[in-house]
Amino acid sequence: MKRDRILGIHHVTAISRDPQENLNFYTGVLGLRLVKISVNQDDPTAYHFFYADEQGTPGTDITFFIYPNASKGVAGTGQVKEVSLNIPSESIDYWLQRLQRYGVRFRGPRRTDDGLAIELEDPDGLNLRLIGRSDIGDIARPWEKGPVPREHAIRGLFGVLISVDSCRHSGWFLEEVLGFRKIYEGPGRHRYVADDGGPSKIIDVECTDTSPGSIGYGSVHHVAWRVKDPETQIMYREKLEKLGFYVTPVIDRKWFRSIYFREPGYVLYEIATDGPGFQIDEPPEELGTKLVLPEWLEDMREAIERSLPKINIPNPENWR
Amino acid sequence: MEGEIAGEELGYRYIYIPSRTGKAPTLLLLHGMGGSERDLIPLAKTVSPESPVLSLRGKVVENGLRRFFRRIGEGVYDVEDLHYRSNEIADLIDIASRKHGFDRARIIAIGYSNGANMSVAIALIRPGALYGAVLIRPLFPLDIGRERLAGTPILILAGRRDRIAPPQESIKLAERLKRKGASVELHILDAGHEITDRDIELIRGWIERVGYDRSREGSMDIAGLSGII
Repeated sequence: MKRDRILGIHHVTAISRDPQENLNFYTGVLGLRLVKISVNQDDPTAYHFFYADEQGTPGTDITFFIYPNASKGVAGTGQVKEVSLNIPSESIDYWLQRLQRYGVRFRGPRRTDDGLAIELEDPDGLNLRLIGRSDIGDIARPWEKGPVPREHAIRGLFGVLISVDSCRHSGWFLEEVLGFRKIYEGPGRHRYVADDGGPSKIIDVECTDTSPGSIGYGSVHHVAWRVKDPETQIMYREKLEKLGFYVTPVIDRKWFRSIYFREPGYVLYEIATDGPGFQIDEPPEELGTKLVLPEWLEDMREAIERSLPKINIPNPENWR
Repeated sequence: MEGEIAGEELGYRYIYIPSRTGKAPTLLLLHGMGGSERDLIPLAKTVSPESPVLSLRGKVVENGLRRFFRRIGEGVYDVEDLHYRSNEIADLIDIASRKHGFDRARIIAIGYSNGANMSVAIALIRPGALYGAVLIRPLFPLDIGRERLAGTPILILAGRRDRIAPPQESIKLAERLKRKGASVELHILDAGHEITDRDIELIRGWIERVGYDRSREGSMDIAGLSGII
């Protein structure tokens, strides 16, 4: 694994309408660990939830901005259309039963080139897939206290699917600018991988001439790619600027540093550093138990807490 | 093996394995250089157990090794022989289908290396002779054949570390076939020139998707959630 390249997916961020339903689904039903409760740093009236594995490993992280007043997102080009997660291939039956038990809308299992896949929707209608894999041994550390038995736990992200109007342009960007490799090309769909490929390093590009989508609840806001360190991030930032792309300055998100930019198909990408990590401000046992704010918002804590909706962090015991 | 019929037509020795069900496409197997008509039979039985199999032995011999068409040097193919053999094999399929009773309209070539190259040539020189083709590690840098391939489904499997058939050539081949109207899927595997389990998995999935249905759309299953229960 080389230092100076994109290592895979760091996280995916989507929009949700109801914080309690979001918590119940992602920590209760899916058994992901809530590793951070914070607010959208660009809009402190909106909750920002981070779900991941036991310790918040990059590549296992799905995050949500909570916007109770948002309208429903409209699917179309310029967006991440689907997010896939890894489950052990022996756990397909377990998950079929679990999803049924909790009334989740799902379809499958369907045989795909990546393995057996269950297609489902979260409470906001976000398209997810659980893919049965046999090569996900140590990609993620399942949440010890979680409601899903260890041997069946979700093991991080498999990949994302973006919908764009030009496979050529979006593909060129992935290959020439971000250093991905194309490993599959079919009618209307290509697959690119970061680093050595494999789960958590995959992006599928679907090109279609449907109209552009619009963001709302149930939509993905952006996908973030991992780099090992700030130097690599700066290297990408300079490369993007030199090629004439608009890219934000490096933004300190406390648990990682980020730059944001749009690829040619309008999908919003982020490049995030692996560190410092979620444990920089909370000890491992206490991740995701209290509202955490960046320093520069601390003196407004009382006002922020008052404006945020009340939530109950689900007790894993109730979801076993 | 039980059920196998050894035969010969137009100078090609072959093995024909019938199938009891009528729905599966017939597989035309073309081995790699130095191989035989036995080589790809286990693969065929794994990827599509219900399919009848017609497995050919190459007629051209180079230094004692069997090939399907002559070459002048490495990577330099005898284009005239290519045309001749393409026509021969296309005619052989006609004859064999009458003789053994398989569906002439649905025969998919599975070719490895030299066999893959032969499959490309047949597809380009006698379009319509094949319903589709699986090309495992092809190397076909020629631009031949003037006709269009009306949506013929083609699966290309290249190996990232293949020194004999570099993957870049497969990318170019995919482009050329697409420009002629074929419906191409290209995978670049983490492999060399050898056939891997992943190849077999992908071929099986592709035949299931493509071998039974005449839809000319891209048959890659794009997971939209319309009609979710």
